[in-house]
Amino acid sequence: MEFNTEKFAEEALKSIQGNIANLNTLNIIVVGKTGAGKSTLINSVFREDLATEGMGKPVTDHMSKISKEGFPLNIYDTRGFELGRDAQIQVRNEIIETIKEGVKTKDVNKAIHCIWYCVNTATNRIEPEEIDWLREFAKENALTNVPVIVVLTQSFSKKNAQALRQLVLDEKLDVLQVVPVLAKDYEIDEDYIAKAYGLDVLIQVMAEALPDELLSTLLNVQRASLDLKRYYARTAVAAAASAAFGEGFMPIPFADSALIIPTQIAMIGSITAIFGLEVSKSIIVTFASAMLGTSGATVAGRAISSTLLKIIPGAGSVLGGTISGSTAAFVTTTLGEAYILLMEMLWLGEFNATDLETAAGRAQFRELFKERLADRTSKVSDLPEGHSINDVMDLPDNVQIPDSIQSMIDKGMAQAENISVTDLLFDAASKVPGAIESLMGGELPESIKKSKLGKAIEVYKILSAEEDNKNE
Amino acid sequence: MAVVNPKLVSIGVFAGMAAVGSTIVPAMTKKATNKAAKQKLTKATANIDFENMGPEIVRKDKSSEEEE
Repeated sequence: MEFNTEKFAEEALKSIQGNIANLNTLNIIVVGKTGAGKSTLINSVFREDLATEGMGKPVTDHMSKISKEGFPLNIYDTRGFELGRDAQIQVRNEIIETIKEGVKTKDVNKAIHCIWYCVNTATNRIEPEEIDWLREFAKENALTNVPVIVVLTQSFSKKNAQALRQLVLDEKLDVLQVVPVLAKDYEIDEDYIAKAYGLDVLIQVMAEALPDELLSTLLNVQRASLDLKRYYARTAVAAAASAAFGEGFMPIPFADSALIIPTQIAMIGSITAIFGLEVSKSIIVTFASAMLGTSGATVAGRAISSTLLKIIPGAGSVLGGTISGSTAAFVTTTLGEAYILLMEMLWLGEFNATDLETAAGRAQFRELFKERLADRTSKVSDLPEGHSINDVMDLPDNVQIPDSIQSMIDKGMAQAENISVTDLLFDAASKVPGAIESLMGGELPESIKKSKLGKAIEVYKILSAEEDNKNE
Repeated sequence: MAVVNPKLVSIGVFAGMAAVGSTIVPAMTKKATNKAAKQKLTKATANIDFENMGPEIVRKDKSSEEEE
């Protein structure tokens, strides 16, 4: 079965576009007095610099809605909170009304998902009427139960931030959490700076409170936490690897292209949506070429397995061409980890998309990518006895097994602590009369001479013979 | 007795698998991802030391300031 990197890239792009188009819309209300630093906070946490002059559209007397075409986030910004008790009551009523309207629609895209109540730490206080406001709001929110996070903005002093945090906690308000943040670096004096912090924690606290179906959206729109993006992307890879594991055991020769490759394409779409980066077809083609180790656009089906597997320590040299469940999971995990690495490189600006438009840029990317990939985690599962992994590829020793594969092992998919490539081969061979004998030196049964298993047994025998010759 | 064309059977099976591979499996993996991520997030959030949160104080980089 032919594998075409251009087609792969086209399908991956469709998957990316589909993932982004299907993201639910996240709706957040940000409450606080003028000067609390709401705009800076919004722009530091989310992509697209939403909170700029003129981007808000008034939706009520005291609330404006900040949104951008094609961006799955609406921020409801409150105004006039500092104008006194009456204005604060009106703001509260408008918020409750907006929440209720969202609930009535029964549409997750129209519901209010979280409220940030911002207090400026630099003022060293929270007004009694603000405490009352939060208490009253909690009563009216009892049925709708939208999570409220108190965000202590401009927390450049740890001491003041913690004191204010304790003060708020002592009031035993019905809030999800009190999070001190500093949205931008703060110049303390001519010599020292207080570094921005807390935004990733704010995102993490919010993520835990949101409905499951909004997690992808939050990760897409936020720019505060690369760790969270990576974490969620890895979970997506583990899920795809588990699916590929099952798909790999389909006893049909072209199961890989009908099932496994679409699963991998969907995984790439999912990861790209998490990172929220613009990815062009040329990036994916270059990525696929870097993974395959070839500059050609078309690679034979078995070769993609062989070549990809060579990137996985221990798996490639023997089982080239045979897709079993464990191998499919290995391949999917490696592909996913590699793609996450690509996303991180683009996110951190280590590489620009335009760099990939030249041949020199693409070659540089491949080298850099291979270097970084070699540093990544992957487990050396054992090769045929005596055969060294370093004979197959240049990889450092002492690397760790990916969690996704480990969990499959833990579930008893393999009896031994490590999945042995040899064990996999013998296991497959045990199901075919005469195949085990051929592994021991006998003739290959006619029925499997042209099959993937037959090919794998031939390769195994060649490698074993090489090893025997070396030892003599 | 009708003779079934093996080629047609192969195409049918392939098409069926492709449909499963491109629609059902991705939806299932997405659901599994969300669930697993949520579980891990809950554990991770429980370990955040909120009481120790505060900024890192660093010295200004004088060399980059001079270049400016």
